[in-house]
This record gives sequence, structure tokens and C-alpha cells, in this order.
Amino acid sequence: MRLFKNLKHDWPFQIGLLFFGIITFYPLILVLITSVKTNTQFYQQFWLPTLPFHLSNYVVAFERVYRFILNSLFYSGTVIVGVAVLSSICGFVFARYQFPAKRFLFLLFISLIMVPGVLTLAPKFILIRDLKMLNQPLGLIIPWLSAGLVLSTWLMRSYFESLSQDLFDAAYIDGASDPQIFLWLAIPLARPMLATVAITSLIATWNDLIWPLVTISDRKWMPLAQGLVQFSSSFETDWGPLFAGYVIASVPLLIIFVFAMKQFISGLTSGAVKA
Amino acid sequence: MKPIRLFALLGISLFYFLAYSQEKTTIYFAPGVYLPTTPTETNPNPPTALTSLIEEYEAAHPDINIELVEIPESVSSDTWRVTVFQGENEPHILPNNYIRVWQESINDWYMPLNTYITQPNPYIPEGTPGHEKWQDSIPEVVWNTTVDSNGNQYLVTVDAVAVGLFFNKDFLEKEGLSTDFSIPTSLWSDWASMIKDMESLSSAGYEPLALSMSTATPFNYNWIDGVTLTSVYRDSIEQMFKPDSAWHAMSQEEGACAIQNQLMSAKDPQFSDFIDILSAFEPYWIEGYPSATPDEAYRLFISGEVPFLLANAAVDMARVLRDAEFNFGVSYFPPITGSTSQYASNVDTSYLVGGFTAGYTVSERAEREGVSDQVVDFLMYLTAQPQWSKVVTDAPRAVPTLLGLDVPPALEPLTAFLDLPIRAFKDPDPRLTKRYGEEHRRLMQEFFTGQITKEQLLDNEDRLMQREAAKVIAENSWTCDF
Amino acid sequence: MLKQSGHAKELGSRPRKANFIVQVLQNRYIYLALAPGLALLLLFEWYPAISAFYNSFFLWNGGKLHSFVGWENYRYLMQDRAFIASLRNLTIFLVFRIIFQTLFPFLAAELIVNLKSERWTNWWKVIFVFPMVVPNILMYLIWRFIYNPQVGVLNKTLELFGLGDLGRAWLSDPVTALWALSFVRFPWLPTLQFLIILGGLQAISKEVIESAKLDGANWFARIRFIDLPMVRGQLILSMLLTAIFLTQRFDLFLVLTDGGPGYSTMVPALHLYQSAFNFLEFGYASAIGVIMFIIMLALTVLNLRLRKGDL
Repeated sequence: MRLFKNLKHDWPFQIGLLFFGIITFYPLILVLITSVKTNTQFYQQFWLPTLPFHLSNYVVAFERVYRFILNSLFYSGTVIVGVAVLSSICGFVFARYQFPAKRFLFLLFISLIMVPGVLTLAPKFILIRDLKMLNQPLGLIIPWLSAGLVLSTWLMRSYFESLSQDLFDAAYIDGASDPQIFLWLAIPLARPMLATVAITSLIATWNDLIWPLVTISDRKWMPLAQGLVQFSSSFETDWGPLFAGYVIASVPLLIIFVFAMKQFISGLTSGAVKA
Repeated sequence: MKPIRLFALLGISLFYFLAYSQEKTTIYFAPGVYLPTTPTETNPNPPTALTSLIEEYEAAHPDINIELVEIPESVSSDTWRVTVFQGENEPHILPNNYIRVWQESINDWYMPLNTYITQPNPYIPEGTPGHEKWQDSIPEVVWNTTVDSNGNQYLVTVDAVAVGLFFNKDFLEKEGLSTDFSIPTSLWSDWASMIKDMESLSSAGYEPLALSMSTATPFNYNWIDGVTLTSVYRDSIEQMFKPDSAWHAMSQEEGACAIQNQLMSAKDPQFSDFIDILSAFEPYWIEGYPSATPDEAYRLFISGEVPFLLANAAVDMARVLRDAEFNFGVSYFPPITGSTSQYASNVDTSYLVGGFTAGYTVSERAEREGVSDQVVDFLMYLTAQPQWSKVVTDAPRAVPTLLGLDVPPALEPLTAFLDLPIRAFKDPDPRLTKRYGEEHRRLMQEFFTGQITKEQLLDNEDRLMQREAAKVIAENSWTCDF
Repeated sequence: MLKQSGHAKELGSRPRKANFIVQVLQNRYIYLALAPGLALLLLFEWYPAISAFYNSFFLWNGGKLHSFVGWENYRYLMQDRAFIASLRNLTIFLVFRIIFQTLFPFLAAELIVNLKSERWTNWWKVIFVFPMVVPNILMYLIWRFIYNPQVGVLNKTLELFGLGDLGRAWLSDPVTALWALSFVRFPWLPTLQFLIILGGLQAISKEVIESAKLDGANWFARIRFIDLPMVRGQLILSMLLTAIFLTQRFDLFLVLTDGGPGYSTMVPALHLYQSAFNFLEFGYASAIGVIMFIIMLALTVLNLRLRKGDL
């Protein structure tokens, strides 16, 4: 009953939060309801569950989406590792060292935040085509990696700057070299921010529809978002399996969410992140 | 490096080289509407004939591997085409519409089939047309329709497509409307009586006609657009054709030159009538048609809420047969006659949407990869009467045009439509350019939803037509002196 | 070796030219460390960006047809109704969404930090971060159903309250379509922004709040005089992120209305996309991108100026 201990003080706030919570969650429940319907049931009743439940929709859906899920896991995984490694190195360097042309180089990174992604959409497509990477996994991974690098380098730099200088000075006095300090001091300290960078990259790549739409044409390389949209209505839309597919598609993220949530929340709520 | 390692390395590379060079030839084949699907609760028995035919072919040709390609239908099918052709990843065999192929052949996307179609097709048994000469298996009128202005045949057209207005018999009878055909192809003898019926349904509180005009899936609207425009220009269309040609679907060149030579303009009184006819029809379309998907339109018809559905009749027939819990029929648009527009007073027929528009092209990729012969061989196999009849009987989604094939019984009602003359103005996109099609539809949407007046619409339409015609003429260096 | 560069900070003086090369050499490992990231950005971000500027002066179908047309693309852009409408739509959409995508997360975060129960604080955090696992596309599909004119929950709800006459085809009516899109994902609690703001609020020290309470400040006064000034940085960042994301992402528009009816929900990014990938007009698409870039740059500079003057 500890959950109810402070209710006397908290109730107005709890009611406000409940309001937000219900609106946020109702659509998700709707997805679960729809995922066990046939088209006939769906056409007759959108908003409430209907009997019998057709769990076989999940079997059909799984066959359709498992390839997309594997692809997406592979793409996002590669991008996350790449972004985490590169952005922590660059962020660390920009945060803790002075060197010639630092301002200029940092500007090369940071001013890209101002370049709208759509400006480069068409030329990037041509570049990827000329590099013979169209319809190849690399054609997704590399542009995602470079695009993700911009914001995450900035996040990592902010975080490393917020760490106390004393820690590093102490390490220098103990005779640690720069790579050692980076690997054994800075990285462990930055774990929450690394989780943040990883999860933002994950969300961005998992949800990106447009770039795969223009670069991937072969079904076997399609990531999830594209696969689900492009094949939602081949000949006719079968809503039950479609929604079941979305539910299955959410599972990998759900698992990651359960494991990395604490780090992710503490990384972003550390207060170091601001303009 | 030690010699032994070097040899090992060489050996491994040789092994891979041999293994690779013995790899099967893969033919990527996009079957379009015949694509096999997995069974679901809603559709428990999808067609399987194509799958088994392909298995038989692969068994007989161990060096060939057939990969089926699904073409995305929903968002962005145009994007998909651009992407596959730019990325050199187009399927070897692609379902195609001849008008579109004419428009795209300037990019060298397709392989001319001229030499192949004069050869014998070994998969057609003796005594059946096409055994000596492949092209004999398809009526001559089809070849005459699909030939490009450069004389090339890019398509093997095995099917004809017909669109139609599905109607809910029970619904109409309950509302006291007749469900008997007045003319062989339609419930109504002319356009005005169709509008009258729609009006009576509408004043009884119903939304009469389900269709989609979303700019992502604008097919339904495109059909109406082309039929109406053809009817009001009936008297001047023949001047727009190249000399000595019979009535046909206008090519991009003829369309652009008609505008250039001032045979047609948005300032014409005919064009104004065209707009009026459409805007008198539009109130009877379902609420939300500018963003509705074809699937949402279908749902409204099948649930019995809306009595009429405009659809690709052949493709949707099986679906309606499976889902409808009421009696239904399929009608066609009635003719637009003098009672609707003075410029249509010589019109005595409605015009066909579709026709010989369901062919297969062989992409340039086949030549690029040096597998033209294998690809064409598979196409010969598939489109030979014994095989194709299995495909269309199993999945009756289009009316077969191959000689010696019977029309599947379910599609029998549609054959009368196919005898109608083709609409001269096709969809807005192949008429001029894709940009024209898109902007034209958006202008029409703006007009229908009251964002612009008719004068503004005509002004913009005029500018748009002039610009796109000039652009496409310049790109192709047409002279327009016919 | 790297430590020497650390000393450069203490020296604080500008190195002379000859020194520059020496310094670069001394710091070669630093440049080496930056090289992979930098190379990626140069090739896959800077090169396409610069190439967009260059190609905006060409008629280009992405292939062989590539001819110089000078300012033609820009001239046409100025009369392109789609483009003009798209700028107007984007402005309305952005202003609305930026305000609400910051306000609502702020409100939710305020409610959470005021809870006494630590358990609930954690639970609510998890609850509001959870929807992030749902693919965006799915949310768009659901909102399509909500707005559906015949069976949509919005029209049905209105009927329930006897307001059936207000019901309409929300996405197909030019008056409501843009607003309908603006309301998608209401109550707009984007994970990233929500957590950043929450982090800012949690970082405010308890003593400040307690002393304010002693002074008799009520909840609203505390928000006004303590919380808002303290999380100003986070709020600005959240707005900035929202603006950046929303300008670039147009999948919402693509999936729900495709810019229609007419141009009433067209946005520049979608227009660019269609020009390039549906009409093969890559030069024209580049010109749209360039104009968008200039507008964003101008706004950023303006924003910086204003903030400087105000500090």
C-alpha cells in the first residue's frame, strides 16, 4: 500500500497525470484490440473488442514482418554502435582539449544541425546511387550514421564538459594516458548519456520512413517502417494481421526499453542538456 | 607470404569464382495483380496456380531461379519506380500499361521485343495460335494499340482491364430505383439519368458513390476525368490524332501537340463544360473522398452504407463476390450526351477505361545482364495459353486477351464494356507529364472543396497545360507538324 | 603529448603562424581521433548540401539531362502555388506544435515533480516514455481512423454529445485538414523533449523551493518565478529540437493527406520529395531545399540575436 501513501497530498497532480496517461495509452490498446479481428469484424466495430479473437493473425503477421524486424535490428544496431563510438570520441575531444582550428572543426559538426535533412535528400540519393549503394544495407547505414552523429556529438560534448575537471586532473597525476582516461574514466561516467545517444539513434532509425522509401526497393532489405507501409495494401488491406504486425514490430523496442530505460531517463534528466 | 598460403588463397578464390559462376540465373518477376499471397482469416484461400507454374518451370530449368517481386501499391508507387530504375534494380518482367511505357521508353527502360515476337513460342502446343509465331497468340488489334511511335513493341499484353460501377441491388430496389440495364453496358441510358438517380439517393440522405480521389491513389478520379474530357471533345479529337489513324488513346506527343497547336486549351468552352460536368457529379461522392483510400471506399460499399462503388471491376470482382452479403451488379458509366453538354451531342456511346493495358514488359536490365533469352523464354512459357489459362482461371482478375482462352465466368459481365471505344484522353499523368497529372488533380480538389473559383481554376489549368506541353515537346524535340 | 595542448588553454594567447603548424603537428593524434567522424560528415552531409546549392541552378532529371538554367528554378519557385501554400502551412503547423510540444511536456513534468511519492514519480516517467516503442507509422494509421468521416471516433463522439452537425471529413476539408494534422498524437508528449524538461525541473534544488514556500508563494507563482527561469535553457532546447524534427519529417503529411486536399496540407519537405522522386526534377527539388535552408538560417540568426539582446 505504499503506492497510496502520499495520495492525500498528491491527488490533484495524480488526476492531471491520469488524464495525460489515458489519452496517451488508449490508441495502444486499440491496436491490441484490432490485431485479433478479421476484416469483417473490423468493418463492423472499430473501437471495441469483438469475439472470437483471431490469434492466427499473429502467425500470418509474423511471417510477413520477421524479415523486416531482423533487417531493422541489424541496421539500427550497427548505427547505434557507430554513433556511440564516433560521437563519444569526438565529443570527448571537443570537450576536453584545446587545439588549433577547434572552433572551426566544431562548427563543421554543429552547424549541420541547421541544415535541414530534406535539403540533402535529393543530392544524397544521387550520391548513394553513384556509390552503387542503392538498395544495399550500406546505403541506409552510412547516411543514418552520419546524420545521427551531429546531434549525438553535441550531446556527448555537453556531458563531458559538465564533468568535474578534478577527476581528470587526478587521473593525470596518477600517470594515466589520454586513451586510458577516455576508456576507463570518461566512458564509464558517460554511460547514461551513451544510453541516451543509443536510444535516440534507435528511435530515429527505427521510425525513418522516407530515406528507405527512396533507397531500398528490394523487399529483402527493407527495414520495418518501410515494409509495414509499403505492404499494408497489396491487393487489399487485411487489418488484423497488419496491426498484429505492428504489435510484433514493437516487441524488440519494448525489450530494449525495459533494459535501457533507467540509464536513458537518467541521461536526459541529468540536467546537463540545455541550450 | 609463404607459397603454401598463397596457393591456399588462390585455391579458395578459384573455388569461390567457380561457385559464383555456376550460380543460377535469377529472374525477378513482378506479377502485378496475380501475386500469390499467404492465407489469412479474411482471405483463407488465395490463388496458388502461379506458384505451382513457377515451380514447374524451375524444375524444368535447373539453372533458372524465379524471384517474385511485390510492387508497393500504397504510398509512393511512383517513388518505387524511380528508385528501382535509378538503382538498376528493376524487375526483369514488370506489369505495365502501354501509355505509361510510351512515356517512359525515352529513358531506355524497356527492351524492344520486336525480334522475339516473330519467333515460335515452344510452349504453345501445335494447332494453337502462336505456335509458329509468338505474336499470333494475341489479336492484331492489341499489337496495333500497344506499338510505340518508334515502331517498337515493348509489351506482351495478355489481359484486358475493365473498370465499373458496382451497385448494391437490394439497396437500389429498396429505394425504388431500377436495377435493369437500360443499355447493354449501363443502368442508365445517359449521364443525366445517372445524375438524377444519384440526386434521389442523396436527397434520401445517402452518400451515393464510393470512390477515392486521394492524390496518392487517384485512379478512380482519373477514370472519370478521362471519360468526361473525351466526351466533350468528341468532335475535335480526330484533328488531334496523327494523320491516317483510327480512333485510339492519344499519345503524349499528340496530347502535347494539340495544346501547342491550339487545338485544345483550358479556355475552350468544351473545357469549361468538362469542369461543369465534374462539379455537378462531385456532390454525390462520399464524404472525405479527397483523403479516402480505395480500401476505405470499398469498406463503405461492402458494409451496405453506400450503394455504388467505382473500382477496377476485374480485380475487385473476386473480393466483392467473397464479401458482399447482398445482391450486386456491375454497370458502366452511361454516355455523356447532348442533354449534358452541347459539345457531346454527337456522342452516342460511353468510352472505355482500361482496355489492353495489362501487359508485361521486359526491362533493359535483361540486356544489361545478358539474360534476355532466358527472361523471354520464361515470359513465353508463362503467357502460353496452357499456362496462362491456369493463372486466370485460378485468379480471375483481368479478362484474358490471348486467343483461344475463355473468359472466366465471374468476369463475363465485363466483356460488354470491352467492346466500347477507348477513351482518347487517358489519365491526366500520361496525357502530358506526371507533374501535370498531380497539379491538375490538386487544382480540381481545390475547386471541388471551394478553395478556388472556376475562373481561377481555368487560369491555372491553362498556364499548367501550356507549360507542361512546352516542356515535354522540348525534351523530346517533337515538331508537331502533323 | 596531448597534455601539452591542455596547457595551450592556460597560455591563452593566440599562436603565431609558424607556431600553428607546430601545434597542428603536436596535436596530430587529436585530428586522427576526429578524422573518421569528420570524414563521414564531409562526404555524406557537407558534400550533398553543397551539391544541392550547385544543382539548384540546373534542369536535372537525375541522369543525363543536366543543363544550366540560371535562376529559372528560383523564379518558378516564386510563382509555384504549392510552394507558397507549403510555407504558410508549415508556419502555422510549426508555431502550433512548438508551443504545445513544449507546454504539455512541461505541464506533465510539473505534475510529476510535485508528487511526494517517489514510486509514482518513477512510474509516471516510465509510462510517458513507453509510447516511444510504438512505431510512428502506427500512430498515423490510428489517427486516420480517429478522423474518418463515417466511422471515426471524433465524429462519433460529437454525435454522442448531440453535436453531430459539427462532424465532418476532417482530413478532406481544407478548413480543418491542417488542424487535424496538428492535433495528431495529442497530447504531444515527445519522449526526448519531455525528459529534457523533466531533468531541468528535477535539478532545481529543494532549498529554493522550500524557501519560496515559506515566503507564501503558491504553485503558480513558483512556476512563474522559479521553475520557468530555471528551466529556460531546457525549454529553448526542446523548442529547437521540435522545430528541427518537424521541419524535416514529413511522413505524417505523406501518410495522412499527401498534402491535400489541393495544397491545404502541403509542406516544403513533401513538395521537395515529390518534385525529386515523383517528377524526377532534381534541380527544382534542390532549389526548394536551398530556400528552406536560408529561411532556417535566418530564423536561427534572429533567434541568437534576440537572445543576446535579452541577456
